[in-house]
Amino acid sequence: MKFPKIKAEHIFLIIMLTILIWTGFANLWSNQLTHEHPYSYLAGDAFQHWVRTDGIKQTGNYRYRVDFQTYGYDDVIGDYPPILFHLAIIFSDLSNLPTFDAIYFLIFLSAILASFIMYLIVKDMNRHVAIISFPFMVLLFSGASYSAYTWGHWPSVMSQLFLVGIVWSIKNIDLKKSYLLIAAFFTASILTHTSEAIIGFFFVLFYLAVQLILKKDFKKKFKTLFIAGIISFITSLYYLFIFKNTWAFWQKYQFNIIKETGGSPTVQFWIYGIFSIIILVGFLISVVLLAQKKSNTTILSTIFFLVIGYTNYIGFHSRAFQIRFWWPIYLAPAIGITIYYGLKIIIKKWNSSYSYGLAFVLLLLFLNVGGVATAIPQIPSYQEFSTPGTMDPYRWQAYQWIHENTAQDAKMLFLYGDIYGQTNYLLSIKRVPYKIDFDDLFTSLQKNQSERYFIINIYGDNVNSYPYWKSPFKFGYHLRDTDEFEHGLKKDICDFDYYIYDKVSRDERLPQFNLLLASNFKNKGLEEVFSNQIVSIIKNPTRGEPCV
Amino acid sequence: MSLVSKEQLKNEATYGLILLVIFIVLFKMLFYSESLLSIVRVIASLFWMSIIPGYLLMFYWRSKLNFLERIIIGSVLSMGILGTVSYYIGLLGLNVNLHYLILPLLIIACGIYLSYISLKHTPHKQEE
Repeated sequence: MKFPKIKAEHIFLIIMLTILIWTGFANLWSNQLTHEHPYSYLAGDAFQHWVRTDGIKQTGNYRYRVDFQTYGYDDVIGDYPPILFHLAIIFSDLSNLPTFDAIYFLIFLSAILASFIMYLIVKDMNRHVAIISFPFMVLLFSGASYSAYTWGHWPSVMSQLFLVGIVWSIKNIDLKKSYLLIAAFFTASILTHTSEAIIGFFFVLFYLAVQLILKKDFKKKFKTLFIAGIISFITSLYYLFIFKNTWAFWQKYQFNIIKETGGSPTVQFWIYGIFSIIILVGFLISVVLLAQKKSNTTILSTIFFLVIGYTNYIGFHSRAFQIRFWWPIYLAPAIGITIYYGLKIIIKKWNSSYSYGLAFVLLLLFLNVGGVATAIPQIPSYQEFSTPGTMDPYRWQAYQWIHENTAQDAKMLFLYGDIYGQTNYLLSIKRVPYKIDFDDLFTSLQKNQSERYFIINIYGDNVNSYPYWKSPFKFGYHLRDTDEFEHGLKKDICDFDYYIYDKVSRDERLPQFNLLLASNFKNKGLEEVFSNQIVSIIKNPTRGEPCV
Repeated sequence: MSLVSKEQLKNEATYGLILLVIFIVLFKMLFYSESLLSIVRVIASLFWMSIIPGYLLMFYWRSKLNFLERIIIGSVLSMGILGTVSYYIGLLGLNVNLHYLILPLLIIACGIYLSYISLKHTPHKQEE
């Protein structure tokens, strides 16, 4: 048995790992792995993915979606790419972390693993470039890029890990049976978030085109990639059939130009300040190297991922912006290329200590040690950030009570709550949620304090109109078959089993409407069954009877 | 199995153990509010579902890729395969709540078999 010789590279990689975990989720999670409730969830999509995970755990597989996510339908096909949720369940069962922590952990792990893979890819081109590039990847966890995690772009994040795996395996295309690696990463990407696999396919086309032009073993490489394509097509065939009839059916390609994501922060190229210029120079050097027939995977991926980040101008919508979240990984080589080849002009005899020294300086900058980044204009840096997110112990306690004490098919109505506008959040109760329209609640009660009919809407994970199997190869769509769940209609407030409402708000006037309704309910004999400092739950034992 | 391969396996098992210790120390340092037991369990879970199966699956390419590269890529590969198999086996009727035990074991068994086959068919020269 041989104890390994410790190299400078090992220490460097351990430092990078420590920093990435620290900036990624140690700070955000208040240095704890296990939490009492979904922690650091800042948007509805994060809740959606966690609830979907719990749904699969409850049903035991993803043949169908769990009914509380689908307006009560129990035959809705599991149409979301499933790998992330399955891995989260397995990891949760093994580690004893709650599913809401386990799934989030895997997302940060994905980002960190992808950084290391990119380091390996660049190292194959030039070790010094790889070392100098690595610190830039810390910015994965800063600014708009951080919303990829906190706002819940999780399947895309994990699928991009497999996309980086595809790039790595193409770099190693000359390995014996490399098609197995390429096929495995492609399958995983298709089954995690299919759009990244499509981007991977474009990368393969770009790679092959370059090999054809440069006459670099094109036939052999084409054959390997073709075999990999056949294998990944076969291994993902079942899901691809579902995908074709759901996502591809409802979200057809449409050419349009958008400059920003509607819902979440957008990564723009110039947010990296002075480093945007360095990236641009690195990009131009890469193009020149390619033109001089000095292509390698690092150069190709740098060019490709900068360009693909701009496909929002040709109709790729949010998919282009999701790639931009990981620009600190994809474009890091451009930083290394510019700095290394630039300094190489002056310093002819380069050695590793220069590279590590530069990496150390860049780390100090990007981590804003001693406020150095804030003192120099145009330097992007990590800002320490920690938050429990939109869930709090009181609401969580109430939702757990619902989960444990109410019938599976109980009809639940949310009255006013500051956070209830995030409708995916409502699914945390694991019952079919209805929510009163806030504007209608305020105006109706001001007109008539004992109003019984309000605009009430049902909510769920209603992508793809709830597809179901009409016959073995034919799809039906529940929401196309019925208009029963149309939003904006007045409904009887007494036709519910439970009412959930907040007692406090940022605006003190708003909970008064809830309290007025609650007092009406209580006058009619309805009983408060749960209450804490924030939330109350009222039970209606005579659903459908007059209650106000 | 050649002597070289045996020696390599032994050395890499040591590297694996060192990696395990590094992970535990690092996580305890960064997640200091968490109990040590909980951290050990989380890290052991990662080793069970990702690192060990990945290492064994990548052993086939040991002559071309170093330990570090195989561990990193293997972990991702293993996650991809585990998730894919879990989805399909779940559809076939094996409850997802049982997968944590059975599937990593299955991938580890496949990895051991593939490693064994590749060791059997590798000439000593290439290993050296």
